[in-house]
Amino acid sequence: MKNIKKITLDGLIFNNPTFMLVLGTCPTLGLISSASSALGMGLTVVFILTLSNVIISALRKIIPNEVRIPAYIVIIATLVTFARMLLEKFLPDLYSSLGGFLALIVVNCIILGRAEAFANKHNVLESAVDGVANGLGFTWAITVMGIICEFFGAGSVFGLKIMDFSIGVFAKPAGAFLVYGLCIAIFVQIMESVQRALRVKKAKLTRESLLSANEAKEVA
Amino acid sequence: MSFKSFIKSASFKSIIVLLCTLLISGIFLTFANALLKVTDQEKFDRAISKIYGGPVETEKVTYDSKLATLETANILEAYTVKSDGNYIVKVEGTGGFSGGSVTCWVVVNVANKAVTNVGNVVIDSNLNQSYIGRITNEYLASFNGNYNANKPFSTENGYVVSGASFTSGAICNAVNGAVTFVNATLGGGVVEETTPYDEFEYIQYINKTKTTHSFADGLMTYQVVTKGNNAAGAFNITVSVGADKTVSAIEVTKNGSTGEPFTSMTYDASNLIGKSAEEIKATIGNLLKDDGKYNISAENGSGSLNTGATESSFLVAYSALFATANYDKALAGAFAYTQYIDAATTYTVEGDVINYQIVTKKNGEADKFSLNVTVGAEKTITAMEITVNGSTYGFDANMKPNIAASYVGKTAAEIESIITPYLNDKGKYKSASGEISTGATMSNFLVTYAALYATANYDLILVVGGAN
Repeated sequence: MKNIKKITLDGLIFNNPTFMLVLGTCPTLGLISSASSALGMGLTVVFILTLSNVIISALRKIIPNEVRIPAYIVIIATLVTFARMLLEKFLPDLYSSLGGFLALIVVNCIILGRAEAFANKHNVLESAVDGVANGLGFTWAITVMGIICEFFGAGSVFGLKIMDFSIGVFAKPAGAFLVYGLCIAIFVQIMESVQRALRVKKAKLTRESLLSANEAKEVA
Repeated sequence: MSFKSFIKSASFKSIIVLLCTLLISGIFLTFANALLKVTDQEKFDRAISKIYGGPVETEKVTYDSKLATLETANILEAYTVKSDGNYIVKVEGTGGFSGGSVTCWVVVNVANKAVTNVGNVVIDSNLNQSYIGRITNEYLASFNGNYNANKPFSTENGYVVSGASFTSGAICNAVNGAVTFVNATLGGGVVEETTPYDEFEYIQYINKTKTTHSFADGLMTYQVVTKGNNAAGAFNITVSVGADKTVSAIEVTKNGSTGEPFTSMTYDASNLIGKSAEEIKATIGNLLKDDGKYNISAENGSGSLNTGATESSFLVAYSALFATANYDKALAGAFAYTQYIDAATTYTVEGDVINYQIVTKKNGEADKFSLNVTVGAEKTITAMEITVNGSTYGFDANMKPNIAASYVGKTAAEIESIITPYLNDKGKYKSASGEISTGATMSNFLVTYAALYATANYDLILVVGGAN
């Protein structure tokens, strides 16, 4: 259970694939001009990442080491093709808005990276949790950036007009780069502060427990 | 390595695993495709639903190919909506920037076998429209619900985007084309967009529906609107041709050259003044092929039109050629007030005096009238009598007393002021109250119309000369 919690928190926050590992930058920069496209891409990645992790984890003892990468790519490509068929059939608007970035999920570093770094070394349950966590971590990161870019670039959020004023650069790739960089900086700063606070708290607790242990010894 | 040892090796296992992975993936995707495939019909229905604004079932319309090609639009596909009978038409509007076009989907609302309105207009694609990005959704929405049968959509009545006027024009042409097509389809007939210029020469680059001509003060003046020519957009040129069939005046009122410096490199139109059709054709030279089309391979020649904006210069000279070469035909068609005049009408010219033997057409209950009308040098009627009274059912007694004699001494302008209240937008009779309203107004109308015809065409007939 503790392991599951750690895997989840790592994927969502501490090893966030977008802000901490800087993986999957191609769809990030391509789709954050619209919050709804960003959210759609994120949820699609959750679906594919989870399934690919599960399948690869289940086959990890069968696939020889020498051909693991081509095998992973075939599995991921199959899942991406399946996801495209599902989206085209049932969610055509999302399918159109994702455009070419949908096919590019095959070479998304997050998916291949988690398959290689985690799924082929852990059991199916842990791999599934890792897939969901990293997928959701990617999703919330690009959705937040999508909201920022859409708000400043078009004055709307998820298509709902909020204000008439807009700054054109945020609707373009240059603006996406800016927002991405700023978000990474802010996130890393927050994480460092949190971790520093945790270290201080841990050190304080350790010192207090050492002091109380010494006092107990003296009394004895 | 022996075959047995190869079978037991890691390489063989790797190959087998990879092949199995591929096979299983392939089989899975095959089944998935069979279950989830989006058919062409589904894709089409989705596209149409987006255009129509809601889910619809459609049926393809088959139509005569003659309906498909209009003056400024080409019909590509057409569908009817099963639920309400409206039409969805895919139409290419020509006359765009740089001689290109815009293809649109246009919803045409229909009720009781007639067009009632225009619905959504959606752009499908375009050719050479560099400024298509300036066309906004608001502009396209402005067509919705604003159909007027008497006033086609045009950039001149507000349907224009600043900075993309040619593209706007092409979109207007597309919408008008869709409406014309649906009207023709509902009427069960072939659209014949006849113009006075259908039998003229050198019309390949002339917009026949927008070009006009008129005769006044001895000059045939054309307001020519050309089509585009490759990179050159449409020009508006005013050309006047005298009785000697040479250009007496020419002015470019709208330059279709696209962008600087080409605007300043267009041929100086005043060089054409005094030139006849043969001389203008010699000036154009081999830029005009035998089939009547522009010869792009001759652009690098050394003629006076090869200016660096040769395609534009060609259009200027071509307009002058059109005007001079068709002078006689234009003259024949320049008679005014002919709607109620029968082809049996004749005239003779004696010096400055024209003697008409006018036969009118019918007008409602009034049958044909025959009249003798004489118009003198002052362009007033000097004599007028009714030789055959077309009033029926005894209504001749109710005609305006001495109506023919009352027009003696009157000019065309004076007679026009009497008859104008009785003419609608298309120059046809309409019921009204005025100077000639009696118990036989339709008969009075025909007599007055004959007087107007005689006086209004005095100048023209003197130029034409002789008798007809």
